[in-house]
Amino acid sequence: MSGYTLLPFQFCRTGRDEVLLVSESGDFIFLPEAVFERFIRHELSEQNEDFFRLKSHLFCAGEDVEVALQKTAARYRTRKSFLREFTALHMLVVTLRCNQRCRYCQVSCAEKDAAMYDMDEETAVRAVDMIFRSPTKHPKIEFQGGEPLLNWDVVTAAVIHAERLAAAQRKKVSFVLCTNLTAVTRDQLEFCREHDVVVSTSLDGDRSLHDACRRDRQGRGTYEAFMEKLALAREVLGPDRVGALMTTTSFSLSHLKAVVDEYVRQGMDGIFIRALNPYGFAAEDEAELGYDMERFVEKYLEALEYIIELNKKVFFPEQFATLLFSRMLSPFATGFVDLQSPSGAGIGGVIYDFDGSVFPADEARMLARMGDRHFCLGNVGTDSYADIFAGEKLGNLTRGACLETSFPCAFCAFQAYCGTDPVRNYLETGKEVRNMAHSPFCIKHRGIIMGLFDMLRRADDMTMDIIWSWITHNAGLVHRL
Amino acid sequence: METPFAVSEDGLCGHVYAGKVFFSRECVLAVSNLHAGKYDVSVEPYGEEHVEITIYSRDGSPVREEMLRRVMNDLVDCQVKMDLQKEFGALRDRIVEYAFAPVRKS
Ligand code: SF4
Ligand code: SF4
Repeated sequence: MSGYTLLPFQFCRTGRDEVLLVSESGDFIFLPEAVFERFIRHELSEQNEDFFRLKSHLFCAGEDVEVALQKTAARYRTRKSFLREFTALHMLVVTLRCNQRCRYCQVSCAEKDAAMYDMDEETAVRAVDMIFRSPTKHPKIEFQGGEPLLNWDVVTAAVIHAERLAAAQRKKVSFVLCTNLTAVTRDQLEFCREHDVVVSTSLDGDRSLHDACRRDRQGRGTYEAFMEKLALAREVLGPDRVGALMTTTSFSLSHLKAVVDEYVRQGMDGIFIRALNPYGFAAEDEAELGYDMERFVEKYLEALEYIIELNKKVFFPEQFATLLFSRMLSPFATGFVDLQSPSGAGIGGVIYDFDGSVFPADEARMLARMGDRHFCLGNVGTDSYADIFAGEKLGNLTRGACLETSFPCAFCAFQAYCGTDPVRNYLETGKEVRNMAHSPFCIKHRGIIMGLFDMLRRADDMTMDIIWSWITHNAGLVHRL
Repeated sequence: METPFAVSEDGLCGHVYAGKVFFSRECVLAVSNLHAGKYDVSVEPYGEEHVEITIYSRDGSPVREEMLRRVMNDLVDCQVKMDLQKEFGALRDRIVEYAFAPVRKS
């Protein structure tokens, strides 16, 4: 028996007589099964080449256990540094009204003239005051809807108030306007330019894929109106200030390459291939719009291979893969409220509904829209910052939403890369904590992470350069043809 | 016991026999839970030395031997993970303590 000490790690078998080991800080290593068995029994020779690899990647330590623990702790702290930014992302639902009626609208948006769904200015100002009570030095305020352009005066009032508070408190505030763009005016865009407001919009693919779901209130496709306003937004703001997101439905699932092609054609700087969330109209129409998560994983990975090929010619990252590769290959901190442990709900991001109700996540607000206010943390009109953010409700939610204490996540090799979603758990089972095995969330993340590891195992130098160019956002790392 | 698993009821039900000397109670329950999302699973004592994990198909699709072999492998891996957890659990606590020590001081 050798005298080394095993340091904490998780493992899984790959099915190729190999074991994947992932350390507490997210570093990973593949070992032949026989070597793994010897390693965990403390029978691996300290002269063995694999032993040197294991030791240098902090899977074990010799006499220097303390040093190894401190190195691991430093990496662990970096990985969890998103916790320092309490609470960075604040979403303001300035109205539930919308000029569109997309088939998958997750907030079940209201009619264009249903003014009772507008946030009033007083509520917006109170919400901004609350945002600036957060310890974070870099609050990001996202205006959401419905369509926020339909309650523009409140958007501008909130921006101006936030800028004042930021100057007084020496914080750096940033703004994002989430808009379908089709109702935008030049004046509104000029305001965005003057106040450094970034635009985030939606593009689901080419005309037929976009129009399949993104429709106006009369049921007509919006592609043409969208393209016209996209051009205007880019002209006024500059192309790098306008980003787009896509939502995968059953219509686009088998055509993800066409979606990617459209993004490239429109000069987008990357894509985030997002699965459909089962809320609002998307839940009502799930039979037609939905799909099995296994199929999403399969199609996602196919599209990713395509995007890697594409990157041999042009820099075009897939953002979800970038996030996961970054967690797998680098020590960099990656805040992403939808995939972290403890869950980002409330501590990474929070949402203020049009009536001032505060929810720990957008999905919790969508759930409230479906009639269940289980996650409501309070209201900016009646509750203090401490009531909402230091209250029992958020405390309990966060304590329960840790992978380290969830089943089977506590024993999962992908724990260092994955996250929890208590709102989704609640929607699917009525409980914030559930057995994650076979849940759609687990099927998706397990499947994608396994697919990415497989990609890394097969990667040639060019592919690795592409992956690193995504992680570092440095297009120059790839010598293109 | 020669084969640690068997199929019955025309393939709709599978049985895995886990030796108590090899697998802890926690391990058997954890692996049962792992498959409970997809199958109906029950755990019963089987003689002095074994427990029987019974796996019923929910949707009428057959429970294949390959699946039972997977359950057996899950038992082995789960027990290894639990043993390792005992071995380095205290170190994990120390890592978290070190990692957040600067936060505690501030
Ligand atoms: S633009 Fe957004 S808010 Fe409006 S209907 Fe479409 S998804 Fe819903
Ligand atoms: S959700 Fe699934 S993939 Fe993610 S840590 Fe838990 S068990 Fe692993």
